[in-house]
Amino acid sequence: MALEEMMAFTTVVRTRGSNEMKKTHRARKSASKGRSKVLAGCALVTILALVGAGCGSSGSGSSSRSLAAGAPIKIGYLASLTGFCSTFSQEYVKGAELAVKQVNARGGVLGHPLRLIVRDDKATPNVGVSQARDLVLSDDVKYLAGTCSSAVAKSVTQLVSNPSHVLYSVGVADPSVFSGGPDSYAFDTIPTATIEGDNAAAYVRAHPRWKRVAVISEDYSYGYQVTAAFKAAMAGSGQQIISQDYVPSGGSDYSSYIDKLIAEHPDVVYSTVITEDTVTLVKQALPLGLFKHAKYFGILDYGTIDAMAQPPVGAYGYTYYPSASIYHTPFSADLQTLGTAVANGGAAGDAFNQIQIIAQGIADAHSTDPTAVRDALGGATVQTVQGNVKIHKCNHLIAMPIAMGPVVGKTAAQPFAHFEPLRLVDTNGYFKC
Amino acid sequence: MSFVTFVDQLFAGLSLAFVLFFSAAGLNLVWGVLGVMNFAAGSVYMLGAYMATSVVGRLGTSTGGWIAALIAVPVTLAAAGAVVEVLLLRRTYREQDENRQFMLTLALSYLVAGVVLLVFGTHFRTVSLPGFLSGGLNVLGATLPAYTIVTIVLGLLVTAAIWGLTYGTRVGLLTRAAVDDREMLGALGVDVNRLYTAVFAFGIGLGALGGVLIAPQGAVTTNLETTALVPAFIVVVTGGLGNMTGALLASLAIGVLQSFATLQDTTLAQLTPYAVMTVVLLARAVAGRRGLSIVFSPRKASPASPPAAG
Repeated sequence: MALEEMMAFTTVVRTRGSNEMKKTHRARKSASKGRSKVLAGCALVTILALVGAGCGSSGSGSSSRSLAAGAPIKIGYLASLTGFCSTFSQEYVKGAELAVKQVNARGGVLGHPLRLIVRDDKATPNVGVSQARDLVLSDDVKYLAGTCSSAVAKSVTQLVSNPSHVLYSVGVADPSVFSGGPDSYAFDTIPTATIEGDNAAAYVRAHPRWKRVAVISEDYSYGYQVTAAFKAAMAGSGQQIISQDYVPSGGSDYSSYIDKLIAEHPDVVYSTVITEDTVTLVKQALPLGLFKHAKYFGILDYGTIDAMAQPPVGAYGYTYYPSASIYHTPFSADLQTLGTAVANGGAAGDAFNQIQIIAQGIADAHSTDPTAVRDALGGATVQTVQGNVKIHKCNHLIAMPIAMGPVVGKTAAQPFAHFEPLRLVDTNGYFKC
Repeated sequence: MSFVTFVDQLFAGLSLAFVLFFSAAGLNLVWGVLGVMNFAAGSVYMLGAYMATSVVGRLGTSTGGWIAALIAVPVTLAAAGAVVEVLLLRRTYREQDENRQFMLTLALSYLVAGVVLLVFGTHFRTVSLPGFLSGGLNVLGATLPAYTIVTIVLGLLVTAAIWGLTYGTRVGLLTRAAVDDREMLGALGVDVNRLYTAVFAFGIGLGALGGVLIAPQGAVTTNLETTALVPAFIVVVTGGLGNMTGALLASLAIGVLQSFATLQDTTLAQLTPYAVMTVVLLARAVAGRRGLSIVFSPRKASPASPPAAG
């Protein structure tokens, strides 16, 4: 039982006990003062015992109940199967399932198999928290992973750090989700918006002939955060950010936004428009001539550019998602079993990493206690699809490399749109611990 | 603002306007004649887009493939719509219960969404245009996508066809009569059941056509359902429930104003549809108090009453 529940229970006991005592007092006015003291004493002892039990069940204590030999370690997975990112959330589930399958094929962790329990958070914070709470309280889950939504992750992070003390592995870009420091139970699996913006600014600054920079982003928190980080990192560069525009997520027609960009005569357009919105933006930008008027630089994951009949060849893209084809690691080879489209999409690889990090943490801690696992993961180097990557102890952010390069079409060696030449940027330099 | 920018934004606005119009036309027609607010309209639009990716995927991105999609998808979904009207929707007319119609069409929207997920999966799909439509044309110094011009022309043709059907044919005459007095029309020996089925099927076909036309413009996702339905409702409410001319004018007003508003502030520009709707509703209320009628007035569509049993 969680501390919150236990405290609520003791409050009820305290209230009921008090009421009972009042009733007893009214009914038996003639009862001796000594008997009342005995009753009050008994109630106090009961309350103290329950409070003690409640305190004992908080924090590491809740997990101190060791799992029976061979009992499964349950991982609650929040997938936004409905809602704004439903189009790629099934891929998260596929990646998580694959990681669980691979870990279990190796005999599990500390002799325990992993068991995945998938819930739909609808990309909505109140639903996500409700599902997470139910997983923790009803299914006795000690490990949570997933969601595509920073808003959901932020709410779930507050839940897992206090009072539940459940370890949470998630790939979202909002840095405030991981502001809890080394005591937080939340771990990030992708670079934050700040790191993404810093890295993009470093690239633009390396091209001083791009004097006029237009920024186009998604009209929600991710877009605003990357844009803010990018602008901050561009300060003092001598290059001018001439505009910052936000397109509606899931929009069908971006023509007017593209025409506005063209009218502003930028040297480069920096875009943080993602996934299917990138497809819509690029498809409509090509005939309008945006790519002839300006350079295009932005987040372009392999799954997205390969889905386009006309990929934006010549544009300069980057991705921090673990597209399997970029890396040559054992886990990227595992991901390939899901097929090229899913393996390159990024979502499956991210979910794979989330589960893998939990499994490695448990193995490194030699314990299934989330607090011990948290302490083992802080500052550790973990195995991921991208290879061995460091988790920073001060903020639980992961130093995932960012893949960058000019977009080219299919080749004999790589029969899908990709970056060539490919450059992997070490993001360790962007961490301020 | 330079002249070229003006032309660019004007055509971008027209492009958006016809996207809006196609998403709203079917919804509006069904409301105007049947008095049914079809909450599955967004699903039909989405399904049309998905089916277009399949048809073009099988037949190739040639002109022939696209013409086949433009004909086959709306006709197929119109036929499915006719079946739904006969088997399900018709039963709700007798009760004159709008709640049942609402629940039924809402349930159908969920059903369609589920079928799309099962058949097409969750990942977005894309489809490209024939080569000659994928480029841009120079008009008055501005670059316009060839496909935008095709969409605008098709939109005008469809509007003209609806006008022609409504005001130049016997079916249109009967349809207008059905809007005014369905019972009288039935008493005169007209098979109102069949007329309703035809109108519903046509409305579904229009929605599907909108889906086919939007498919090559971007990614086809399940989000199309909601991204189409909300603006479609705004257009229908702004244009006047059941008023096709009003819907076209509302689409044009919203599309063009939003396009030019984008030049000022892209975030505020997204509020344009709501601003236009608010202004029109206020104007309609003021005009109504003064006994005036404006172009954006709703058609007099009473809840569907039971047509002659049959």
